[in-house]
Amino acid sequence: MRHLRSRHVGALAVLASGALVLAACGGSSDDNGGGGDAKPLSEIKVAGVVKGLDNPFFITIKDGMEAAAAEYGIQLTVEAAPGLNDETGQANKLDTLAGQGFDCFVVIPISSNNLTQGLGKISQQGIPIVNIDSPVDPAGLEAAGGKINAFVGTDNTAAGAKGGAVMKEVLGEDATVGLVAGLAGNVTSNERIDGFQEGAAGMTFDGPINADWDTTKALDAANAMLASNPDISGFFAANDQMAQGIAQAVEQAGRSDIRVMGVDGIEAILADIAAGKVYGSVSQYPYVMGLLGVEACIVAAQGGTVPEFVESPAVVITPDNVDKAIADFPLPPEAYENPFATLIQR
Amino acid sequence: MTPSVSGSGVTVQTVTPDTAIPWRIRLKDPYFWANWTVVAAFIVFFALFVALEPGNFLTAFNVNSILTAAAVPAILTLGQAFVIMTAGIDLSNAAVLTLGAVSFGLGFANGYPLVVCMLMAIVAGLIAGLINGILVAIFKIADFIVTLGMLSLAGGVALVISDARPVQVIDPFLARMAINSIWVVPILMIIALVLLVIAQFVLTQTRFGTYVLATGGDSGVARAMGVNIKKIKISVYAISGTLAGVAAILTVARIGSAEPAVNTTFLLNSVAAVVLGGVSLFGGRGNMIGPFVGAILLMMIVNGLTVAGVPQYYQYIAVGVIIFLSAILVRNAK
Repeated sequence: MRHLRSRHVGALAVLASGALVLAACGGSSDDNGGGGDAKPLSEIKVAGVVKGLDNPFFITIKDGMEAAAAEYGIQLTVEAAPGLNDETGQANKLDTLAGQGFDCFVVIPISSNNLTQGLGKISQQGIPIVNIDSPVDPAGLEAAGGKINAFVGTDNTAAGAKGGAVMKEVLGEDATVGLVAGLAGNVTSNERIDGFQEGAAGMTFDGPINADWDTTKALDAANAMLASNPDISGFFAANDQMAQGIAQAVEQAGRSDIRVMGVDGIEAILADIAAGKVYGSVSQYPYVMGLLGVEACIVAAQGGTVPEFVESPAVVITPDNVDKAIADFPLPPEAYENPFATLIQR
Repeated sequence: MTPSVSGSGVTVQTVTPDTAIPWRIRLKDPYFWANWTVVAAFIVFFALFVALEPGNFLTAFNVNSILTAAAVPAILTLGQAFVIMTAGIDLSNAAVLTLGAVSFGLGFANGYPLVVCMLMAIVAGLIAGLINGILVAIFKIADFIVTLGMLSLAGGVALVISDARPVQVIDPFLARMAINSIWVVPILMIIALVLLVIAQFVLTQTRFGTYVLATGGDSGVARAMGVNIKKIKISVYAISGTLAGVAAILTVARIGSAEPAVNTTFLLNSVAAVVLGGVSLFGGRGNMIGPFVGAILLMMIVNGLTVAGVPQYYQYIAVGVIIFLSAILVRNAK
């Protein structure tokens, strides 16, 4: 093997990788072979794929999932998209987990389509899927051969509408509300904004301006909107992190008359509501969504049937109920329905 | 035959057939190591992940996942490599990909045949690339600034065209292209490999390729030798843009819709892969195989860490550290 040319080294490398790939064909992914009698809880492995963990809403979802996993003693792996906008990255994560022998998946897709192919592959292996918070588009999923067993979440449009109704009640129909949306083109953001406008029908709206779910961008957007339209007496943000940025802008502008509302119900916003910086937030109880999502997965992994659509609680938190909301956090201040707990076989 | 043009001055290394260079001297050539360090790094990490997760990492399914994930980044990396070899940089490739995807979506939503939609994506990429190239080569604006501006411009045009709403693209041909594989290799990766072969051929076997390296190595000398620097620079940016358009088609097939949001991870990974692959940021040397392997390596690392159950936060740290280490390895080879 003297005088190895560089092209031979290249060929060697390709051969080596080829040999490794050949070896890969010999190995096979673990077959979990579901069905049969209820699988014992300790043997159930659930995988969760959420959006980015740089947002407290999704961190709380993860907390709820882990709480359910702890309560029932199952194994849970939660992976997140590398960033709130990285659709391909999230699809890659799901693809990776799809071949690792999990009994059930809980997914929150970044867009209604980006996980569809991975989900198709999972369904073809007969593994159940529970979709929470952001819905997967049904037409695309069907075309990919996928099937969702259950959806747990709040209708984002209804959530926006609840916020809109409260805003209209507080400010009256003659007021102007500035709208600040999330990532351009995002379904969740569009639904919340559209829903708000329905719930607050009759009011005047400025925007929506996109602030990409980012606190600082929302602050800048609010400043710009206030500068061009000083008549604004309210702001609605498609999520709480943006509402916080807007609240700061409003405070710095000295406009304590402006009512700011958000959606999500993260812990920090509850404190802001109690302190009077923010007027309200439509809380979607991410903790409960995560909890219910994993419970639904356990039922499905044990071969049980789950109800196809479960609405997780959505409550508008205002100064009236914020104290109870803080005390009960992360659970909602009111009782909620849990159709899964009774179906789980211990 | 490996043409090599020294980047540091007047001396131009003669193009010598490999048969004439003894192995011992070849090993001492630092350029040799820069090109192949990434392959060594690839093998090291592959072995590491196999050792960590024997049952789960080295499965047909998982290898297929890695190759599927790496197809689009690899194509973008090829374009970026061409640009970086001329001592330039293309910061707009991720945004041009989005522009291409949205153009595809526009055609699809209007019911145009699939081929027309694909052409729309590629032409959108080509036009963006040409604009980049012309501004850099003829108006002599710094490549960093030009492509940064194009990043914003292309992203904005994409939002305007799509009204910031995604267009769902359900098409059986695209679905088959995105899902099917030959053995463990997904069709998407086969497309990328074909492009790699073409790119490597163009770089090493054509005069154009030599001129690209010459432009990056020492444009003064290249110009004196009769190389049309302007044409070369415009060409490489056009290539990068066009490849971004091709990558857009593959992304739309994979995601099932034309999304208007720009994914900057693609941009960062393309630059990292090119550097890992032994292409100098100062231009003048490198080949296409190194960056291509670098692109796959980056995707393999993310996959390996996920399979090994490393929590998300640590994955960010791990990828950063690995990029540092690999870059130091490549650097030391200089």
